Amino acid sequence: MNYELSNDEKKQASVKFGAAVKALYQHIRNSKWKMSLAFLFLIIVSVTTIVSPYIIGDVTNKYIPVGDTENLGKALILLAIIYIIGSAFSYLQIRVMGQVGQKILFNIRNAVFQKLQSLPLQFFNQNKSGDLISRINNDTDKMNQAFSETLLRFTGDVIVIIGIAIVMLALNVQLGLIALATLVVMLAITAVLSGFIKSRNDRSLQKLGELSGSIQESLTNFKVTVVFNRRDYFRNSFGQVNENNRKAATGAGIANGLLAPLYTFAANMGTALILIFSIQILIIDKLQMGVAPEFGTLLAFILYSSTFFGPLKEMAELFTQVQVAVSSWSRIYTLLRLETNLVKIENNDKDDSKALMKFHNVSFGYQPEQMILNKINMDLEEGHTYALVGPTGGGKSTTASLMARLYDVSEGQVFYRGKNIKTYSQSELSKEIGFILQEPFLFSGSIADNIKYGNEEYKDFTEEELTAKLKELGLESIVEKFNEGLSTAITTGAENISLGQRQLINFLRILLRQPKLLILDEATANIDTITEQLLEAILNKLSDKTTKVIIAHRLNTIENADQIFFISSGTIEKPVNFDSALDLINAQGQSKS
Amino acid sequence: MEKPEAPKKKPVSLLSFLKNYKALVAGVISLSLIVNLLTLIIPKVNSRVIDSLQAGTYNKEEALYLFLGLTALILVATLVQNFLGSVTAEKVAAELRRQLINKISKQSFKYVNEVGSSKLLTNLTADVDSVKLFIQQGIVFAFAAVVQLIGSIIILLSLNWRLAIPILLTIPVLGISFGVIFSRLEVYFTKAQEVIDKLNRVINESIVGSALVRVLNARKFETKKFLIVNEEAKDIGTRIVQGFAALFPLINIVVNFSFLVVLGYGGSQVIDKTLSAGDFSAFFSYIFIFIFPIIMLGFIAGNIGRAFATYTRIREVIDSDEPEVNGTVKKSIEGDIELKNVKLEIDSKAILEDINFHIKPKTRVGIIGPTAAGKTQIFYLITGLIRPNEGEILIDGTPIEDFDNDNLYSQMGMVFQDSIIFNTTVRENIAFRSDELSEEQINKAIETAELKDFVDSLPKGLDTKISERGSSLSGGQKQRLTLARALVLNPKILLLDDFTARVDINTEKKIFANLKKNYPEVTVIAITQKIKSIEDFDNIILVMEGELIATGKHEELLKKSLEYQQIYNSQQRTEE
Repeated sequence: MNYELSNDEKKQASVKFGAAVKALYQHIRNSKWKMSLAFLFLIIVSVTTIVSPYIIGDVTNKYIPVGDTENLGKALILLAIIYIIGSAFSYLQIRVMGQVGQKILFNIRNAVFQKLQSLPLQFFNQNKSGDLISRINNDTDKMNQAFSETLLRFTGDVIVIIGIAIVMLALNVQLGLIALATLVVMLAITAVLSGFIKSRNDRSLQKLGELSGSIQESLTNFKVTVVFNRRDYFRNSFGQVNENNRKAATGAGIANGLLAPLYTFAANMGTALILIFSIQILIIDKLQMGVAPEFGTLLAFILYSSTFFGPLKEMAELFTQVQVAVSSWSRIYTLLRLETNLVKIENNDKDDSKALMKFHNVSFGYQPEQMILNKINMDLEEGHTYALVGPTGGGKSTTASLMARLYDVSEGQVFYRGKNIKTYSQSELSKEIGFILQEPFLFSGSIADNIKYGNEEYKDFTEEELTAKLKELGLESIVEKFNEGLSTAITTGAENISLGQRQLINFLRILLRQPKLLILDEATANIDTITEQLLEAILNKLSDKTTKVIIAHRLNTIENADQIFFISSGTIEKPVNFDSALDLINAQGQSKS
Repeated sequence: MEKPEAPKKKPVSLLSFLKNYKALVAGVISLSLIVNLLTLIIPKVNSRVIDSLQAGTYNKEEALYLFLGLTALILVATLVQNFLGSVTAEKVAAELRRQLINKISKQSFKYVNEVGSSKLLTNLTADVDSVKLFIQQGIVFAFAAVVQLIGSIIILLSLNWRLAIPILLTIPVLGISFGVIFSRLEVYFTKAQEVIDKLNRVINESIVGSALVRVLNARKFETKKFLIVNEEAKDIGTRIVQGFAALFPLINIVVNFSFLVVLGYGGSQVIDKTLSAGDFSAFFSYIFIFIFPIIMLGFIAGNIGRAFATYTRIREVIDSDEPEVNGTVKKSIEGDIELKNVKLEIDSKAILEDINFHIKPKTRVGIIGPTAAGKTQIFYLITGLIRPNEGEILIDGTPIEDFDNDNLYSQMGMVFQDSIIFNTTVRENIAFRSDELSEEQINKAIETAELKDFVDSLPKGLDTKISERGSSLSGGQKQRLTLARALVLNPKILLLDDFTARVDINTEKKIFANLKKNYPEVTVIAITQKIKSIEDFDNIILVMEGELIATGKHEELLKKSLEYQQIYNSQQRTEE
């Protein structure tokens, strides 16, 4: 399965707009009551916005010309009340909607992060971490802008526009139609430009992701940049992505700047047309008909056209923001709709042998065209110790990864306790199988945090309880190797401790889980041999039901194995004893030179 | 091309930073001025038209063309203004990023480690973005707002100063409210960006540690960690939104009340015939123009606050002190290395104590000792990545800090414990130091590192791309790749940190033999756990708990050092 996001985005056609909107709704759904509430407030605010010019028109039309100060006063009080109500609800609406926007942002971020967690290792081999970070942070932030402000302002504006259009039509059909005609022109402009705007924004966000990817990588590898004195490489490689990003972002900025001026133009022309036509209809025509000209209505129309076209101008901005949000969402959605292929399946495959784990004709390649393992067969029996040896790149780690189902086999089956490994859930497998990875990874925090990490059973242990548990398992001597014991701090990337120390912590972490099948992938490669003896003693004291699989280059670590598997060029050989294994290793060395 | 000045002692404020873009910013602002002036004229034209109606001089065509001309001008001016605005904003953003990277690239390894990649990533993305947004919208809006405000104030005053006064009174009221809200929210703008740093860190760790998370089935743990930070982000975000929630309605109510005053007071003036109906309606139109910039300021207030907060964060990095690089010595070195009374402390804990040794050119020296003995720190000291608290490190008799970095590093090859691989081709990973390496040099390095079979097996050979963090390669392949990267320099000194850990014995033997054959001149310092790897070396240094325990050849150490014997015995069971 291909998890490469950038690849997926090139064939954007596969993302259906309807499906994307539906998926978005999933994240909004639980805010729908608050949103409805905000919407209600908004309607109240909008009504006050629509009503007030009407009253002002009334005042200027009816009371001012005749000097009716009493009614003028009443109208002013009414207006004051309306304004207060409007502002109060506008405050409430902004508050509630602000919460909703943040909540939706929160939901989407969680969803993306959870999706990341559900995806298999393969996904991470194919995507850059900086780009993923950009999707979770930058893209969701752009969506948030759309939610916290745009969505409601947009709806608010639509309500005001519709309301005023109705009032205008009621006041005078012809003039109302002119206003609507301008609206249609604006919508047409929008329809024509929106595709262009979106494509520019897509590109810009993609480049921002690339920028972020490049930065993250450069920073992670900073050490090498320094000592190879390639600070210039750091600058130049960044210079390139920075420039690409600048171009794409400028393109997006220009595209985003198109709608507003056009809308303003249409709005200004609309206002002018309404003025000219209302003069014609309300004054000149009336005068010609010998009817009293309606100056009040004229004033009301002038006010209405400001209230009508004002929000329209704003809508141009908002519409552009919506396009940005759509672009962001499609990047997020591409990620969200990925599904892991490592699912638990029903399967009746049976292995009748007594083996704890069995590889049956297993073939595997990270890419279909490049097989790493070819038809491998092996049995692991309970309580035995196995060693995987062979040249680097021969497939040892890959074999180990398949044992823990980090990947699915391309062909053949892996059986665990007689059942296909695919029929177990991840939590079932991780409870039984302990895999000490070749590259020890530590989170920032303390050693205690790190060894409790991912351990449902001990996650709430205090340091004392943890120490007691470690003692019980005979692991306390490892902790003693650290100056501050369990509370020794680990910085990001664990740069403050050596690789050997990191390996020790990883060793602790897995041993604490008391796995049934323990896989050590060069788990002690950077640990000194005396400490290693200590680890070995710990391993030997494990229950005799624990099955151990050891990958190591140091031969003394594997000499006690019950069985040695020699893995080379994707095939497996089973030498009868340690000496013949040595012969194989040495022969391998000779033939390659 | 605008070249920003070298950072001064006093931090360059955002506005003075923009001085480098004077022409562009001035262009954008003057266009927005034009747009605003033209916009101000429209209601004036409106009232002219209405007045001409009463005077009987009304001409429909004339009015129409007047409007058309005006709005067309506005259209063109805004389009150009937006265009220039985007160009400027992106130029500034790219320049800020460039300056950031420039500074980071000059910083020490220690600095980058301490500040952390998560924060630097935020500086380069989200922080720069918010400054950019300010330039794109904030400056123009703010300027336009001020111009429109002043313009409409003048016009309102000239139309009817009595009516104008209640309107003008709104300005101080609003100004104070802005100020109060800002000072209350200021701290949250910075916090909002700091939360992004945290999010970056959690996400990045979950990605780099993805294999572990899967092996432990620790998704829930990761999700929970993320949830906590995300919750914090939500809370800060909500606080900011709610802080601003009052601003907008406040503007509305203040403005609307001034409106009421105009209506009541102006209305009575019309009744008294001291104000014409046309002027009265024009007055209303100007009030809208007066309101609009204030509303705009309300919308961009958050944007402005955020921009200034993030700019400060960016400035902290750009203005950070660079490590002192006053080394100027350039010379071709022989490979003589001497550590004199070197003492190293980290967090005021002694890591290395009084280390003294001398490595002669073209010799091979092994450093051995238990985990956490301080071997890697010695490695870092010799590479100049860290500086000792006391003592000296001399290379060919010259203190390491006196060397011109480029000169020194071009003669030193380093292989780290953790194999750092770039997401680019095999060739670029190996020829990392320079693009001008001959095919011959590259091949020699590849052959020495026993990588030839591997490279040949790749679909595109040397031009095959390696995935990020080298996740498509085995541990041994990565390690040999980094060896080839070091060798391709033709170094005088080769530093290997636990290089042999992931390479099988036979390959290792061959690599050392290749080294002797292909790079006979090189001084080799190999940190290792395996005595076997360094048995035939010219000298072996035994380090334990930060102290130098013994030095000598293998046989000597076997005789004189108990600790060495112990290590030796621990490795002596099957490795004959």
